[in-house]
Amino acid sequence: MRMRASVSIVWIVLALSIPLDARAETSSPDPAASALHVALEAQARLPADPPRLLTPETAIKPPAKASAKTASSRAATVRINAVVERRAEHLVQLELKNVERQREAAQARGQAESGAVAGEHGASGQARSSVARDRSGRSTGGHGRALDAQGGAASPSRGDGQAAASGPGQR
Amino acid sequence: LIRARLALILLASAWPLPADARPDEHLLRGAKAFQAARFEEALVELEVAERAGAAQAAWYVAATLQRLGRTEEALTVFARAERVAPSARDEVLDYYLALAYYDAHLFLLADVILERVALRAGPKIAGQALKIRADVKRLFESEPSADNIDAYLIRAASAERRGLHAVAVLYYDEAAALSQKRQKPHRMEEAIEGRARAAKNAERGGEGTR
Repeated sequence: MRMRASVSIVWIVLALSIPLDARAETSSPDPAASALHVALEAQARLPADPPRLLTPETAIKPPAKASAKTASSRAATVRINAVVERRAEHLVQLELKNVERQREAAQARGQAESGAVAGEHGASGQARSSVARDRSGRSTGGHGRALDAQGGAASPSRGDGQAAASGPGQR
Repeated sequence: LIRARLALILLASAWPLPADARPDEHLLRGAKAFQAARFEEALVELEVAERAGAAQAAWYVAATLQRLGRTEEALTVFARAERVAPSARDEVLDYYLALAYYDAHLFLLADVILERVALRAGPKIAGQALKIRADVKRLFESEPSADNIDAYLIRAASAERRGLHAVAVLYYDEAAALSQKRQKPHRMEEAIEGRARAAKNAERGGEGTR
């Protein structure tokens, strides 16, 4: 009987460990891909200029002869683009840090919970876990301890902050 | 009781983390920004989605770069997308790939893609593909000059010097195709040799990988 229950639990866990995406793939289309498809189709344009083959001059030099005014406006555009690009890169870094932080927090929670189970010799166990991060984004190591309230013995859990902290900004 | 708790914890740990849903959120935000022609914003969202694990986002990053006029970057990312997410490719993305080729003056390469797009895409994009193909056809009513081919080889060499081997491959391909359009081919061997070298370097360097 016990054996059958254990086998059932294993099957349930295996079934749930299949990513949701994989399970949904056959039943419904990907909404993000559909939205992108619609957006790309809406923004599809014809080229602005007629086709012209490269010549040795145009292959080396900038394509258009510019008046002073258009040259300065082009320079301004280049500056704006550079600022936008820097800002965009900054936002990407922030977002990646955010994703990494959430993943670490979730992992630390999971480890604290398994620590609580490990220390469950008595009737109850408490698990605490914390993860601190330094400014460079590396985990400084949280800790989790499970305290046996009745036995008075403390058993350390595995929540030692070994979360895969690879640091932000890795391209 | 202990078994039940253990089972619950195992079940909870098997459930996907909320972070797993994030790439899709960024793809959706990227789609909204792209549709509203806010391409810089779309680029950020789509790059985040790609780095958070959505490999297919590379196609959309490349299309956005094309729309922003960042042609060589677009070509590099398209090459990466073909490698990391070949199954995500479709006729709309192919249209943007053809536009990137067109912007880079790679008209014969663009024409090959547009032929496919015109057959498979919806009426709007198919119509645009046909229009571009007609313009390209007019361009080749006279054969390309030796100067034209020299220019493509100059561009290819320049791309190689800057480490853009995947882009260099495209310029060598175009130079070879242009050479074939002449009654008397011009610097064909150079184009073929250059292409082989650049392709090898692109493969060795894993160009376009993050």
